[in-house]
Amino acid sequence: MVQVTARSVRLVDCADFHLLSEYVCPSTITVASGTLSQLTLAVSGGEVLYLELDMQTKSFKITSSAQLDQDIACLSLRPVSGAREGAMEVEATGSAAATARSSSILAVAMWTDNSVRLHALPTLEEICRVQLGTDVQARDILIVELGDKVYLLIGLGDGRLITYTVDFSGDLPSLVNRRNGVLGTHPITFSCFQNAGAQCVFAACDRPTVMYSKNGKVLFSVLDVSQTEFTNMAPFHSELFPYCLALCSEASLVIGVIEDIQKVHIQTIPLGQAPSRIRHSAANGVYAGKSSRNINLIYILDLIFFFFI
Amino acid sequence: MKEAFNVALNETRIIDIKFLYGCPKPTICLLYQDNRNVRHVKTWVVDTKEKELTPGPWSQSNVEFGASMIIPVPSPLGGILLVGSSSITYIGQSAAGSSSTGPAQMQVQAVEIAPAQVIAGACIAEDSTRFLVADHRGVLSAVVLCLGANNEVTSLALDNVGTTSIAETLTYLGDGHVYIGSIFGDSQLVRLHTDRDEQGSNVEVLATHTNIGPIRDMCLVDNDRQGGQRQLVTCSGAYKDGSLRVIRSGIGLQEQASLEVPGIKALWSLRTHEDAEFDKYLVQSFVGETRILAIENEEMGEVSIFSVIQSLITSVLILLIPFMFAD
Repeated sequence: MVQVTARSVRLVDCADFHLLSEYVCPSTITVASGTLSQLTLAVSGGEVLYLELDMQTKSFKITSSAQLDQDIACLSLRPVSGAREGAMEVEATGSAAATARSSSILAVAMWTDNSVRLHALPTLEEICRVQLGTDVQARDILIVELGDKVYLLIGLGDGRLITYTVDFSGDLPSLVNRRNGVLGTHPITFSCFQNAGAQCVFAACDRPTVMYSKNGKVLFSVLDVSQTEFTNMAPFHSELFPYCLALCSEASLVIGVIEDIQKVHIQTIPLGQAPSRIRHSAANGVYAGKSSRNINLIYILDLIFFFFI
Repeated sequence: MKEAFNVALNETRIIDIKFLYGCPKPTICLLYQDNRNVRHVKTWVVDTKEKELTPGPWSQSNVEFGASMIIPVPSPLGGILLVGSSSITYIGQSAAGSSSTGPAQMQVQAVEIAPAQVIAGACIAEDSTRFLVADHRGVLSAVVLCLGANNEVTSLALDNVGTTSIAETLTYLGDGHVYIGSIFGDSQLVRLHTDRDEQGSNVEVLATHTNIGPIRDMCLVDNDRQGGQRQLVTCSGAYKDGSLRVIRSGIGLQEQASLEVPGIKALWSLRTHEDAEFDKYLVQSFVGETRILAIENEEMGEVSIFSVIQSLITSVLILLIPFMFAD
């Protein structure tokens, strides 16, 4: 596995955890993203380093670097079909499998001017840029293939989501078809996972949402759980917990199985008599109901817990 | 089947009508109310050749005023169970005696029931001696026909079986399984046991099918606290099956394990090598340190990793890529 810390990049053997190689960075690493054979690091000061894994020596070497004009908020690279593989320089010793799992583009969100740029790999040349036009920075960015289209997802610090379709049909990839949406009010973090063979994206915020593709459209399903905020997620398919996701929040770690997408959930509160009226008071967060049998009886119910006062 | 035909009935206020079992020709049984508000039971034979009704084998006048339902008793017993609000009566004919000219004997046996409005009934035994009835309170009772020497019904017995949703229809599925279809509450698939459980009920609910109707009122709530997820709260059901239903649309998460771990900033999963079927480690990054949970021998516990990686434990992980070499 590859571990990136604030000062270094380490290549570690997963079987027995011994260190294979280490690259120490002269300045502080802020964010990083990678695939099975590539790694991009953003260093404080706006420098981007692109490293490739050398299979023979089992170490990383810096292939290219670029100095951008601002600090970088987040970055993402991902192998997607439809991207031009020809632009990639393949190492002579790289295996065929490594090529197929390589990304040819890097998406970078900047900290100061709130723009998102696409850079080519391995040259780190800028391909295009778009202005987000918001006053909040992007907190997470993801290139992902949903259905048969490639999307660029940008999660902002105030819970908004901006999506672009990455269009590979021209000479150079471009960002088209911008869509804005609101997921919640807290910063969004993206994670990918597979559900029933389909690629899905989990957007963790105060209203956790799963994005997936159906018939060429991206659909959103809100997670219906009692705990409403998750900050991060990792797919965790283990012996003890098969097909699970591990989700973390401010105070806890939850491991669970996600159901098939989008169901109607009905929670029943038995009353023993027929209720005839119900109203909700948003200011106080209570419900008031009237039952038919005892005309003078009014049930006041708490929003979350539904007990009778 | 040939074409359908109409026959006129003399009786006007018909409360229930059923076909009888075990008759040589199709025979219907009617429960009707006459002009003086007295209820009677009559049988008619349907003559398909002449396309008319001829008087049937038996009739019973002046039955209980609250009589509301006929349950035909299957062969070989034949006859009907007449269900009323204060009694359940068996009405039938015994097999003709050795003399073919002798009149068939009428058998009428009854058992008293607590005042209730029986809504549904079904036969639950192969030899047609046991019946299940459900009333408006959701109480299930078993009616047992006690037989005498010549397969004649000597008496009826009533037994309380248990309580379920208020049944609109009962269907016996065999092997003690009954499906209760309800319009005021959730429909249920139940199993009848011969032994009573701790609450004194012979009924075990195997499955429930949610029914949110009848809905008398509802309100749509925008939960600002939960970041805008809306839910619908309905006043559902009636009588003892009344309830409030909170309805949301979304993906459910079935929780398998939950740990109180404050301050996790990021999570990654790892496996020992590429072809491993399962992930083995869950790496959590905190402010100032990193911890690893591993699945070992059916348990999940924290792992301490020795050697060089010790320094890993004390540093903040920015990124982890699970990575396997082809060799």
